[in-house]
Amino acid sequence: MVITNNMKRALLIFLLAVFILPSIFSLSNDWTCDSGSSPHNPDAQIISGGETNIFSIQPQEHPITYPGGRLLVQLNSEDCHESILVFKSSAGQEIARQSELPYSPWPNCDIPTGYQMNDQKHLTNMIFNTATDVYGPHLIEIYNPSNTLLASAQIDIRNPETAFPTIRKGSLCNIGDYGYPMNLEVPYPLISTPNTESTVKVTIGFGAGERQENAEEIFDSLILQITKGQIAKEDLAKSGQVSCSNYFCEQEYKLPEMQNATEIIYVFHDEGDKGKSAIISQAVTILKLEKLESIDSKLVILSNVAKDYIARYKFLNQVEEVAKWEAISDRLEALSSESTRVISYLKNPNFTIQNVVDLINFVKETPTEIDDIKEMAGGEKL
Amino acid sequence: MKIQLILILLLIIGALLLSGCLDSNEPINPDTNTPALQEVPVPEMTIDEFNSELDNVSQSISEVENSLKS
Repeated sequence: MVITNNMKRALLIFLLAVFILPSIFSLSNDWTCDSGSSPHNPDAQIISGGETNIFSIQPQEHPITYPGGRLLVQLNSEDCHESILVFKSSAGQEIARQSELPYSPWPNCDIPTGYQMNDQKHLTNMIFNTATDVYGPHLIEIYNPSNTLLASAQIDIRNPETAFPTIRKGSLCNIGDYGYPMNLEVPYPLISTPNTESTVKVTIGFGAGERQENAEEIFDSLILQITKGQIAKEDLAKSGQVSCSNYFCEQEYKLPEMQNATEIIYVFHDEGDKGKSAIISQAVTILKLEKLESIDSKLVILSNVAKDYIARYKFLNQVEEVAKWEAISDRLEALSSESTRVISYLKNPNFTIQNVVDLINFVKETPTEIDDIKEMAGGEKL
Repeated sequence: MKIQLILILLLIIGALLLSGCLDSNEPINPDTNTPALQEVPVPEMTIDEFNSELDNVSQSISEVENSLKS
């Protein structure tokens, strides 16, 4: 067989088209991601010597921060000492400070001589009132008793009336010559209902914007999975198209209906034959709205029973019992109307931090209210 | 005959009225204040059942609270 020049040219064009050009123009498959260095990750930064490692700064009862909220600060230190937390405005003005001793068998650090610590670290849990009604960026600083700054962190106090309660976990990925901040944004709590589709979002930063043409390709190389119980994992399907603004592109992913209270979402980079590597993982708090609706309908039934008792004691002309059951009925109606209000807000996909704060207050205060109602009702039988 | 029968009936009705059996304004049992033909309303639950249902609500709320903390 004679190979003509035309055939040689055709072969060259074929090789260029199939093997060489894609490798020049496509993104490098060489990904390195660091979850500790994303500029959009609000995690604490250690600024001195590694003596103190802040391994968690988060609100005590839920991982959203709002004015007047509380933080649980967990410090892990190799040295035993009192820790002082200073809360500052973004301009550096001190707003509040608090100190705590380590949570350990030796809270005063009077460790017996010769005691082998065996790499045991000193844990300090600090529940800290944010003590501000101003939202926006704030600073947290951790000092030892000698006033040495051990660590600092930025924290964003969000406007509860307008902000959507989101937990954001980030990672900075270097792909080829460029760095791409990637964030997984998950609603808190994630409302699960049989009829509503819940979504989570991945955002990727693209700097000045000229690299946004790579967005589709980067999103295509991501795999999102959610745990379903201890072992199973399920892939999340994309919801809608990639959308880009000036510096960021984002893609939403649909979640299946979930049974458990907590699951974990993983963002993986698909590495083809090599498998996949995790970029971000984030726990998801799931709230089944059916549970709240069942509480609401029980409160309505109980309120009606209280009305039956009012009618009974009115009939029997027992004035004190009537007054007692009227008070019980009023309190149950107030609880029922609060639960109805909270449910209606959470059914709106754009619920706010304030709505979640109302939900938290409702679940915190209702058991005490119910104890009072039980005490008022007494234990006698009909 | 007819007049006699009417007289007997009138006598019986008169006797019944005197004994109070046909007076609907009076209670059947004059010892109680309960009006006749009405019953004391009975609520759907006893107070123990009411309290137990309150406990169930409390339990469900604790589960919601725990799921929010998790």
